[in-house]
Amino acid sequence: MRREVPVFLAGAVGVLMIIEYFFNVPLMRSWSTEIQNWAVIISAFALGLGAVGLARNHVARISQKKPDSINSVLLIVTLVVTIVSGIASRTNPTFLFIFNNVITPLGSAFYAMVAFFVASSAYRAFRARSLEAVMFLVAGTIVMLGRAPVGEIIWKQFPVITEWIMKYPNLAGMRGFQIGVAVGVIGVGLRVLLGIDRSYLGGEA
Amino acid sequence: MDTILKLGRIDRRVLYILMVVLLLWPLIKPLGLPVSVSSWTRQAYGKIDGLKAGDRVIIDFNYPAAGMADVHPQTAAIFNHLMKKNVRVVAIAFVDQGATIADNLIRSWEAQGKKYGEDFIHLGYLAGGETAMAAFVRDIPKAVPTDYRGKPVSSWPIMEGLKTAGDAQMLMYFTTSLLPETWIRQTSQWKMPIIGGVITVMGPQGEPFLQSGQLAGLLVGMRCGAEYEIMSKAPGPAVAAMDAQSIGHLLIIVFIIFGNIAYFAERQGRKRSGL
Amino acid sequence: MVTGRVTSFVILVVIFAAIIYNMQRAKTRLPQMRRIAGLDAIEEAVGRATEMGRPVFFTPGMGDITTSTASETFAALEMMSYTAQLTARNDTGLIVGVAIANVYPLSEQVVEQAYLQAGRPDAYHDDMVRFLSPTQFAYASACMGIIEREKVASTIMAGRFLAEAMLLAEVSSQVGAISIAGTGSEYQLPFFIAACDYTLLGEELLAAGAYLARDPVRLGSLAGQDWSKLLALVMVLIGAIMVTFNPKPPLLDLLKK
Repeated sequence: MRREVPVFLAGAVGVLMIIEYFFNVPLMRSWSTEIQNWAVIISAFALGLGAVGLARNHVARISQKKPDSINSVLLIVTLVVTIVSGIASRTNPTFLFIFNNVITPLGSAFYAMVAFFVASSAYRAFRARSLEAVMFLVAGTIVMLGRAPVGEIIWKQFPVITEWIMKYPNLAGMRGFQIGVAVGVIGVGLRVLLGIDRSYLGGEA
Repeated sequence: MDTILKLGRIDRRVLYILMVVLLLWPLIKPLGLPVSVSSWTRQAYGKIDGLKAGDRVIIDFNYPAAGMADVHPQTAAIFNHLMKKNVRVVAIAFVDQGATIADNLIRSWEAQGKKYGEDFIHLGYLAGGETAMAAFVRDIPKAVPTDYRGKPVSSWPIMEGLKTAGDAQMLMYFTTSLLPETWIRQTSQWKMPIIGGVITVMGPQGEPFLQSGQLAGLLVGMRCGAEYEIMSKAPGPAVAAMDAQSIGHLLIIVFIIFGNIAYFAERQGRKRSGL
Repeated sequence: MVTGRVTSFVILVVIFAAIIYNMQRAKTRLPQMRRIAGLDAIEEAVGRATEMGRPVFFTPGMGDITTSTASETFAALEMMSYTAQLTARNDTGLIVGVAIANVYPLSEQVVEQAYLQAGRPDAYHDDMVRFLSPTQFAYASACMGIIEREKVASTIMAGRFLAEAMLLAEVSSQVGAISIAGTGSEYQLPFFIAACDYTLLGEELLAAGAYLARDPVRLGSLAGQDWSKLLALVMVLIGAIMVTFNPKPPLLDLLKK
């Protein structure tokens, strides 16, 4: 019973949403809109659940005096300050200060790190070991040069070839891949609807 | 021979320092490399330029602060274009940080004389991903009863007659993660024009939808942001960063060449010694 | 029917029919399936971690279960269950880093259940599954920190990933860990392929549950998916030929309904 009820609910709601998506049935539309609104509320509460889980984990680390627990203290303090200032008002000066001067630069700095890691990975791993690897390297080099202003100065045709690569071979490969993934998603969805896949319940019965 | 093999064993910290120095240099001393405009940007610009004064556009600010460098220049340039054409904007965010980014942008335009509630409105953040989008498109006032500033959305003139997404003339989304088919799927019954602004790596993914006509336009990365700034005759931070992008791309190509020279030299050496 | 969705509905029904038919057929005739190196390597990865006395790090990515990428997250949860059973049996450390609040309680339950099924409920502890952050780079830096500090021997990244994919893969390589990655995010696959030892491409990740469970019904559904892809291939070929001779074939308008 503990597993049968959620499996039935998942299947029933899934079928309702599929039928509602394709057919204009006013009663089903109102039910599905209501369910979607519930999902929005549950997602918002799940954020709170995550914050509670995070706080629980780090308070435990502090009380057990684990190494580097000072970072956990810092986390709890910033969590509380950000939550309190954000709840007070979305345009609260403290909240905006944290967003504009801490979150945004830190996030941008981490995003920029990707460039360095791409460079070291390219240096370490991009070897012309096979014909496919050579094609990969050549296409990648042409696209990199085509998308940067300097490429056009080196040779005017780089942007033209780049556009051709994006509009033909890349498009074909992407389309094939996306069709495969889409069919895979439908397969997983059907298995969930039929109760065969129960990973959302936390493992097999 | 040893020198050639050493090319393949450079400490990655040396590579990082080289990158920092060479990327900073054009930001301090710009090279002024010309930026041509691609067909992607021309197509998107043309579609947006076709909007009339008073038209309503829904903009989804679907990116966090971390993605601002790649996507925000596009958003800002397009917002600038829309404001100059007196097109009205309904801003919404399905990513939490997107709400604050949208608020900052809207307030900057309020400071320039545009009116909140008439020229634009900010509906805030709606949690729930695509489920929230589905609820939003079919009944906007029900999904978002109050705006970001806490007032009932029905009290603002811009929301008059806007019940579903299909009541708007265009939808735009700017994102670092949202799949293009998400908005296409949710708005398919209205066949409304959708323009996407994505990070550079997501460009190839959006191309099939652009080719099939399901996307009316696609802007890819900071490069398209720079191109849009040029087309709008308002060069900004994206144009300024293009020189650094050029140097960065060249540097990575040089690293790849070094690595491959060392690889082939090593392979030759092994062949000669019979291994 | 809702305008613009008729063709989608017909195609969905055909795909459902193909999958259900093959699921039934598989009960008497098990379909053949090629080896998926990335999934076979999980056992190798856990074995390596056991020998080195270092933990395995698993992360199900940044996908939520309320979005269209839920299927990738479900597939990741199935891989997580399989990995947890292996680490339980081998008495190997396991650390799971979760980004999304919705996925956190599921991950806890999956790992706990896996340890129970492996007969080692005593080996499970609360600290195994850690909620990190839904913010992309806070999650990335937390994962990178865990990989570096715990000196993990193996990293398994399955699910939906964004720009942090490169960071995790490269850091994993820098600490000398064997890395297995799988995602349906087309634009992150090149980074995984470049930096990881094994990569599951798109539907290989989605097939994980069926492949690891070796359940006939699930394997049958994979065969049904292959039939659907064959249908898509035939439609693409027919469409390409038609459009070559007539840029605006009447069938195109029918398909747009």
